[in-house]
Amino acid sequence: MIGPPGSGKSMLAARLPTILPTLTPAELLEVSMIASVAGVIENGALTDKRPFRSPHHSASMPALVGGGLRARPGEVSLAHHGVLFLDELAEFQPHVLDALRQPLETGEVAIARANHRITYPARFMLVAAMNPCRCGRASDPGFTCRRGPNTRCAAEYQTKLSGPLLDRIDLNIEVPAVTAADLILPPPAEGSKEVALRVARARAIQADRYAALGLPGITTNAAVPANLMEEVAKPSATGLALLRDAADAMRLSARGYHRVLRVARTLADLEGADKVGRVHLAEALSYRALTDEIRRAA
Amino acid sequence: MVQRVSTVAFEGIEARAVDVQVQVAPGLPAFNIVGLPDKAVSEAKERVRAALVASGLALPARRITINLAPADLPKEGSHYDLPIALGLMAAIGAVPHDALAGFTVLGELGLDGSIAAVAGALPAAIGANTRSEGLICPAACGPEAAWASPEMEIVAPSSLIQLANHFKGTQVLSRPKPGIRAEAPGAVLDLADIKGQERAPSARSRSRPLADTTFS
Repeated sequence: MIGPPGSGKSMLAARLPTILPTLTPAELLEVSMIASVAGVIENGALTDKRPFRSPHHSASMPALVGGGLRARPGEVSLAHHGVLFLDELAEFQPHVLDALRQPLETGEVAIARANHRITYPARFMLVAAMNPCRCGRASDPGFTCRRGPNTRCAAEYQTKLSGPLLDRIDLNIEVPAVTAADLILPPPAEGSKEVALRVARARAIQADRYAALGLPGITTNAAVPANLMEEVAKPSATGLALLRDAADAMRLSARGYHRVLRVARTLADLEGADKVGRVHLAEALSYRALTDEIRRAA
Repeated sequence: MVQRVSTVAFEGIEARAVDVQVQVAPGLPAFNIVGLPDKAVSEAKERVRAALVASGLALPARRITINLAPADLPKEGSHYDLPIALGLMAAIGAVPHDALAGFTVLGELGLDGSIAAVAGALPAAIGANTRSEGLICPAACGPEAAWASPEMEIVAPSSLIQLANHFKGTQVLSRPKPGIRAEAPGAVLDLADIKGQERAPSARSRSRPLADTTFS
């Protein structure tokens, strides 16, 4: 999420767990085992809420991925089956962020020290928020930055993030500034409960699909192996043409290509559509456009 | 004679079985812990001594040796206090010799003989269950450990005296119930709190797929 200060990025992220389904018993046990080893269970009571971790941007590498004196689980493991929210993403130390690349891909983190060789599960959803530039207002209409042209200021700030990390982020959205007029309006009709229902429905579709294909243990599009994804998310002919053109124009990596397919499949699931259409692919690609912009600016 | 108590060492989220061997032998009075203990485990000596005194027992003026086997596995954490204390109590006859058979023990002792909460009760309980053993853990960890299996035996005392009474049969402790955290009142977050982000193309409809795709 990229947006000016005060536009509600952190609020959006904090409300993400409210639309996620509760943990299944197996997941609950896994999450609680990690929490137990880390000693963060209060009064011995477990919870079926998905974890939400938001470490400060001064976090060190052992704090984030695990390690230290006793090779303790880090934030990525504590966010297992939940959400890891990194606010002010560009303020994190670059090498700390790049340490997230392997766990993001494999869903576990192997910590090797002289005395310990330990693998912790770390299958988490990464949510990050940042400002577009140092002053935070580069995307405001009509704003001119003192530090030179807006685009250069923003590019300088955003190149703190490495390309491979950005390549692993599926959905990039711009969160626009909120005006006072917006705040006076009545609250939106749709709350977490309604959205959570929709999410649960889409997840049920996915779980059914993979159960029918004989893949127990896989319940979401994100966990499906790439070769199978190409099959279940086979786009329509027009969609395929769009994808081919876009992949060339946006210089999509192989990972990017598969991730676009996954997102498109999920969008189709949310709508209850059987086939992945051109419109789903177009929306999935639009979430990647921002990554491409940053990379080009770099 | 060597008294044995089983406990665990944590390797990631795996609990590996560790055997605490207690020997009280004739010789110059001494109290030693061997088997790669870290600082917290070595300090168990002082806590165990004080907790036994507070419970009305005294360490015998003999040569006490504690071995944590396997001896090449580093032992970390404060949860070895209770197995060491129980092994000693069994060795000097304060609890029956066979009372501890079939139990995995973990817990930290206070100087007054109270048993304090430790990290890792759930993995320890699951580990004990796979070896078809029961578990003795601090009272504060009982609700957590009870999640491991509804059948296994779990004793969750809050002090050494309570545990001794449990073994004697004068005050039998009941099995703890699995605990679930109650919803914190007041602070309920809702997407409806967010205003001004539903303009087309809205962050709201965008935040939807976010929930599904990247999570697995």
